[in-house]
Amino acid sequence: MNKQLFNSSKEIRQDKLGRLLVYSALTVVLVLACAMLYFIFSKGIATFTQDHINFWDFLTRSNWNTDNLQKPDLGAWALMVTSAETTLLAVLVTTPLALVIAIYIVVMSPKIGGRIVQPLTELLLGIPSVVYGFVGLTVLIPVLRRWAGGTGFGVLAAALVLALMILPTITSLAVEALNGVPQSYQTFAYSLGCTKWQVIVHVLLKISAPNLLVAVIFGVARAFGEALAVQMVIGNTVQLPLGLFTPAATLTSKLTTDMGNTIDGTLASNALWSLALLLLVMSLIFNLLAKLVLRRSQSRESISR
Amino acid sequence: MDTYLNLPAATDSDIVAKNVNIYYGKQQAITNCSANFPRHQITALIGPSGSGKSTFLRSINRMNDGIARVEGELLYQGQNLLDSRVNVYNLRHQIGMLFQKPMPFAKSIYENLALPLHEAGNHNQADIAKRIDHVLKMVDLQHEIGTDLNQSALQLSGGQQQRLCLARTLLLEPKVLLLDEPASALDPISTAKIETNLLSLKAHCTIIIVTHNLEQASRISDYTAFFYQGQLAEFDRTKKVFLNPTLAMTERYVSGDFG
Amino acid sequence: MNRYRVNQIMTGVLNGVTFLVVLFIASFILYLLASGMTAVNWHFLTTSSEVGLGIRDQLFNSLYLLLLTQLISLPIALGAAMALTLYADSRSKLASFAQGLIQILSSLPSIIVGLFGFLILVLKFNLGFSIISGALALTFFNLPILTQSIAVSLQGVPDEVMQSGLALGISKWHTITKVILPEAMPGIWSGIVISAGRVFGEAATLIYTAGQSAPTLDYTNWNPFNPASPLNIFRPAETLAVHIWKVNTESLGQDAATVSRGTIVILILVVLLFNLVARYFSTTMRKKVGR
Repeated sequence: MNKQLFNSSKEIRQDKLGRLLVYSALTVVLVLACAMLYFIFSKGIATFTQDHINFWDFLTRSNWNTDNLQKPDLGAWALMVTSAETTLLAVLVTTPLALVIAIYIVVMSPKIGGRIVQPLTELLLGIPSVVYGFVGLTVLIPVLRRWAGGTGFGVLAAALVLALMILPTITSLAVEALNGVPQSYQTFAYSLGCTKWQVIVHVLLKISAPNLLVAVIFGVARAFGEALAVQMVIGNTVQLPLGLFTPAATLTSKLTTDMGNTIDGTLASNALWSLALLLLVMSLIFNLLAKLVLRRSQSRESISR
Repeated sequence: MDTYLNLPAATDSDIVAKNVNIYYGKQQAITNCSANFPRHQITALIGPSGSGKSTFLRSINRMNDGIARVEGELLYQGQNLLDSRVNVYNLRHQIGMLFQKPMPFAKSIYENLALPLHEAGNHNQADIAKRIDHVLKMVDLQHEIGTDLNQSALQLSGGQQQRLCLARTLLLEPKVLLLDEPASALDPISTAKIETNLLSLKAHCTIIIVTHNLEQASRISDYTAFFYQGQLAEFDRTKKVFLNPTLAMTERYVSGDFG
Repeated sequence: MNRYRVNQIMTGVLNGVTFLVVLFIASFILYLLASGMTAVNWHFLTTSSEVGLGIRDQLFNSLYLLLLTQLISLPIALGAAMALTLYADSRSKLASFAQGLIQILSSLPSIIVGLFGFLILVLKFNLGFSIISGALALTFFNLPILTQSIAVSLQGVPDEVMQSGLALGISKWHTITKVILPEAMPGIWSGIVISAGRVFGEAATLIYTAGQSAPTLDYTNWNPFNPASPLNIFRPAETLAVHIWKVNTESLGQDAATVSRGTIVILILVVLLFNLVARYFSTTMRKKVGR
């Protein structure tokens, strides 16, 4: 009989070790993720559970006054509006440009695109956000000041800095999206006599539309979550941004400037954690949106095949 | 469904299947398969795509572990190799397998061949060199690649890669060799070389080969098993299956009516 | 207007706009380099910011933090990526749950990661503003990104390689470590280098973990428990990126601008270097081992 078949061997020990190692590592990552979500959530709701701030007031009021402990006047509305406004402006400026560059890289001239344009935008992706903030501070703000008066700090300055920051994000994802369209579709359209522009509009953009939308969503997410660059140029005053040149504050900039000046456990600190929670929730929503868009486009694709 | 099994004696067989059922989740891929695979002979598994022959083959060296559920008995030299106590690594040292796509590791030819030996506990450099030399001769690669075993295995042609993989499998001197469409990705010349290799390997190996190439099956095999819709429909000597099959269905398949 | 004319005009517009944007990006980067070059000299790189305008300690801190962060994150990310791609059934609930969670983690704003680090490391574990807090917070930031990029590299190795290894009676673990990992290595290296670039320039994660001060270091003191030793992991450590943010929010006037410009040159050169190295790995190395 072949007894050897039942003997244990070093391979079995190796596999036990391997499985133990990789699943421990995965556990570390998952525990970290859960801990992050849990702690920010539990800290973020303390404002409402411990300090008894009305949740609805917090969402709809625009003042940020934590000094008067008897009658605190706290609201994130102005911060949320400013975050949304800067993000929206940045995306509006950047999306068309990013699309154009992506189309250039994929369709117009893959050679120059791949050798010059793409590496250059990738380099932009690697530049730290404080550098963007610094350029905003030293170049953009003086220009805005001369052009529009006032201090130059404000929503427009933040939006323009963000616009440059998310240009490489949207561009590289859009390039991926356009590259996802099979080359044969293009070839087929050309063989029917389509012009380049017709191929771009009716084939490439149409087919990759969901993925392009996802690219924009990730751009939005990055702009919404950026802290330091925005904080450096927005002026840091909590108020509803009435004009493009009004100094204002976003969720992230408020967190950046104030977290170091509060004492853990106080209302002032808890209220900031509530802002962090809002930010976290928005980030989850962007994720969910991207997922929904992808899922819908995939299910449609599978039906049409 | 009608079946006709003219099985060789179990005592002369290295692999014996008894009422094997295989499931992917709830879907059944193989139903009640019983067969004997004779020692030092070549048995071809043929049948249309999706008939379950590859699934069956992969169960013999337990490559389906964690993918499909295998029930029944698969005897290897009298032992049920489906027994959960069987050490699959020791089993695979004795039952080798070659896949459809040539898949050398992204290493040098030498490392491709030395690695399985190292892993099997052989660290004797002289012995390793001798074995490598031996298997390269067996698959006729030696004069094609010369003496430079340090070149990357990925630089070889597809046919050479596949023969390198065959050599790699033979290093451990398996008693049974399973082949899953080993030549379907190769050109006719490389295919012929592999077939020649297999015919000479018969002397010390029991060979089971899945193939879609009916001429190949009739050229090299001694026995042929025809699978249809998850069942072993006909098992007989190859000559019989191709010249005068018992079932009408087999007749239609081997004459190219469907498949 | 016929479609040929439309095509002519629109492709012209596409080329023109691309040209302008590329010109803008190029001049942006050239401006950053040119305006800071004059500030960069030997003195700038070798003096402490406490006594002059140098960035010696910040530069060391940045590199030290980067090294520690990658040392901590790499084994974990490697293991997690292997678990996701080579062990867990990709259709299983666990795998999709884990992937979803890692995706969420990787897209969290870095300020959130920094605040979490502040809460857990600085306050709860009492590690204070220190190198170790900073390195762990950067690890939180780095882990999901690195895990994802390693997972992609591992997926690039054909499934059949694993099958071949297993069929030869090699254990799954050794098939992974001796066959699959070496083949995926160029991609993994390029992922590591890209993530290193992000870690090197990260500031939001650090301002409340590694702190915003850079006490003068004594580079002759290699006792890791001495507070003046550069190796001490319990001392606060301002990095280059944090330094730029710090001097500009404190408004030090002309000096701030000069220091920032010089620091930016160093940051960009390092990022440029990382980009080139990553490119080398993803093209040259891949050609060498690729199928």
